[in-house]
Amino acid sequence: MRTRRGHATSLHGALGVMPLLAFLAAAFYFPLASTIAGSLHVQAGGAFGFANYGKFLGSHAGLETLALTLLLSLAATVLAVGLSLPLALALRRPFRGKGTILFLMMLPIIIPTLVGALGLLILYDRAGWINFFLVRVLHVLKQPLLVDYTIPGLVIFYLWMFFPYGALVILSGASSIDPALEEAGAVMGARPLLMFRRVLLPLLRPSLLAGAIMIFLQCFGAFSVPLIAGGDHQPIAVRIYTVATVFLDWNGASAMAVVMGVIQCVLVIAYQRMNRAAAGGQQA
Amino acid sequence: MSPARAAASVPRLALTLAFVLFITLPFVMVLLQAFGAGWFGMRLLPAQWTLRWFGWAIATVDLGQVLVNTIAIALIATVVSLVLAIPAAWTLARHHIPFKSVLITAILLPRMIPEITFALGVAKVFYALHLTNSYLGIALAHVILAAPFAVLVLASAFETMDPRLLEAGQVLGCNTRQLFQRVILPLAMPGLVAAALFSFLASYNDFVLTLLVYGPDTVTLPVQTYLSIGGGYTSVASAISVILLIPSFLFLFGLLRMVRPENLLGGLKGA
Amino acid sequence: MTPDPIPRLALAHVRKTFGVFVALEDIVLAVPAGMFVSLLGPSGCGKTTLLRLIAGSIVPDSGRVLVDGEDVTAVPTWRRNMGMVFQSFALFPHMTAAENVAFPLEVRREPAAARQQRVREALALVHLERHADAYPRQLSGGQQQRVGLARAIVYRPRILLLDEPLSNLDASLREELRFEIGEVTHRLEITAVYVTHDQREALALSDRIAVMQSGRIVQFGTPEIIHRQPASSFVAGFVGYANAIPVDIEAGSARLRTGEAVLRPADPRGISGPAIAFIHAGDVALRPVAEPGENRLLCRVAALAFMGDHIEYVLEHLPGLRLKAQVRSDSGIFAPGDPVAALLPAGKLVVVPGEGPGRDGPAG
Repeated sequence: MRTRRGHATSLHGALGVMPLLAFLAAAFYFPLASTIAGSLHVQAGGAFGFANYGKFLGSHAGLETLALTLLLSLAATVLAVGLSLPLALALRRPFRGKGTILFLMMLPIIIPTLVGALGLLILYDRAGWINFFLVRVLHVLKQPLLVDYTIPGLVIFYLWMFFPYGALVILSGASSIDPALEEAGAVMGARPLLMFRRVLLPLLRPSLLAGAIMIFLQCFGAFSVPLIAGGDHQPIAVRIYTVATVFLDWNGASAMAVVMGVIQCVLVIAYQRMNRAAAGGQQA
Repeated sequence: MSPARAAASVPRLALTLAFVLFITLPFVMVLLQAFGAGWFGMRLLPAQWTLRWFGWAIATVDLGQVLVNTIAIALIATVVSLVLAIPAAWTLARHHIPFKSVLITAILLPRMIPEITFALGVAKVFYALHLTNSYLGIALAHVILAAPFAVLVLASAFETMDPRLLEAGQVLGCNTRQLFQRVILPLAMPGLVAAALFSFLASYNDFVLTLLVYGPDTVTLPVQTYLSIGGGYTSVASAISVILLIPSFLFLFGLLRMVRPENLLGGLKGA
Repeated sequence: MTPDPIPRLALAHVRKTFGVFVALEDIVLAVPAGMFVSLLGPSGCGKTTLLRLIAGSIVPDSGRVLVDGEDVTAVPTWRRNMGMVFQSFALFPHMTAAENVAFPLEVRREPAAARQQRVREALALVHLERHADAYPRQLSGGQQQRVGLARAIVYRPRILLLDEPLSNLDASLREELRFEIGEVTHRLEITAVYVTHDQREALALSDRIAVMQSGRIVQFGTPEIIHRQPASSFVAGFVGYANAIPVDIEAGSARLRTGEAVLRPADPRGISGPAIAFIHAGDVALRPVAEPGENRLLCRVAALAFMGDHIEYVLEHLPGLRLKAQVRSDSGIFAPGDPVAALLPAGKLVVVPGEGPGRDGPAG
């Protein structure tokens, strides 16, 4: 049907996408354009310029926000990759309960982030279970740990919330490695640790990078978690919200949103590049 | 089992347990907070079990109305998403269009960039159009996120529909209406159901976009959860969260049902 | 009197189950040094499981694995000093051919100069010196498997294991590589265990064949013995006999169980009672209608297929008793429906005791 009616259909066939495109143009692209326009709008009447960007990227508060966002994202990404790698390696072979483990791994992604953040808040509260076990049961600490509303706390929360994004990517990469490779290595005399260092790790590198980028991407754009559990610490997504709704500086917020959007686009492109590398490298 | 193998499986068991706890504990906390009373200070479990927080939620923050809002908006969003997505997916799956990949990126962009980035602009436009305090308005905002996902699901469903079945139907004498009713609809049903479920879930769970465009008459469950947390009412927030979680868990269990048999098969093949 | 030399590889009553599935049941095997043994059998018979058990990837439920008399059952794979060639080649994609071959030597911490020398020798042995710096994805299937072979023998392992190494290759390449495997193992005088479902590979390469069925070794012997004196209908069918005729043997004379005809095999093997008479399709001679007699079955042509240099006939002697005959195309063509006499030479008949054809039936 496709090849037979080729070009003749393409024009009237394309009509099918029109309603959706029209809707998106009005509800999504126009607001996006308006945000970009707003970011270039200098508050004191009519003039256009980069003042809002200057205010953001040149100010102490602005740079602090970016630094905080980067710090949180990097720390959480490193930890998340550290968690995802052994997890992915362990999940390669089928075993009883593998489905359950996969299901559990998907939970933080599927549930609304708000609920996860709430649960984490309660868990790590001064009087929550973690502190209960550390202080009252195991007697490892004298005083409860302060986790909620702190930067290390946010890193832990990010870890819980976003590691599955990377774990899935790394698992997919790990699963595509021929299991015969490890058997071959063992027969040749290589211990498992050596195989990991010389074979698995090099072959996993593209997936690890892609997974890391994916996790970083999510951490960078995190909103609900820091909104609820960040306290005074406001990474960029929350700061945008605050600047817009509390300070009512819509244009300033727009500039920040554009900066964040651009950084995220760069990350998305890097991720797609890594993914392609991961797929290509397995062809041997 | 040899003693060596039994010894090797103890740390593996411990690690598995640690992982399971790591993932599930936050949910357990929400459940305990939602169904327990007198749970302050350092205690393992609440002093009593109770449903009073649900009652409080209904009474103080009008949980019933919030639930109605959320479901109504989600239903409208689902319908509108499907209406927009079905023709779009059909076109993408079965016709030859120039610049198809650009088109697909243009449709999927709302799901690729962070919500806060475009929520600002959407809020401004929707406020100007007075859409913020109506079910339709909020639903339309949700459609921005739901419709692209629906298009993805439907396009893949339509792509796997064998065109020869349609030809066979025509050869056997169906007119267009009959073809649609007796051939296309049944074949497309699983894809339609999946797209509807995804759209509903996307709207029901949405937070960031809704936070920026909601009005007093359109408070949804996620927004109310946030408001309650912000006000310090953790127990009420937990109760609301439980209701918020139900569709997600139902959806996941449905997914698990479909995934489990596959895994069983994999286990046997491994032998 | 000199004692028997200790076998290079011995398996003593090895048993392996996966849950309720019995993969290997009481395997006993002894392979002297330098011998090439094939494990031949259909999918699921346990041959690959047995190979991996020898390698150490699988641990038996009971029984022992002995190498040069030493019990290695509890020894982990990386200490068994064996070599293995894989069906999927299993080359490290991020290393060149030379690096792949050098890897086991690096593991053994051989000094660089000696390493390079041995790598070069190994690659020369498989005629791939010029491709030393190519990556696996740049090599053809046949070349990749040659690298696999070089990598498996570069460190002179005690035993070389080969897991269906030709199955992933195009048919045209298989014979060439099969020849090389035979040559290399012969030249290095290496003890080899070769897993395959292809009886031609097994017959061509092996000093001994172990035919496996459902987790057991049902016959162990030289290719000639397996071929001329199959122990069961299953073995006969697997080794390529296309025709299986149920008979009753009495005093060296085999009467067909259906009908009147009588066959007199050259070697009745002391069998008395129900048996199956096997004969290759290519050993059946066809004549236009003749008088009934010994080793002669009167048939009608049911179907025929012209295959270029030969013709394959399906002949019906009685309803339910069909024969396959393969004749060169220049010896005349019979048409479907023609009466024809199938001559079964006494020397080509192989009889096996038993009631019916094996589970897998005669090979087509």
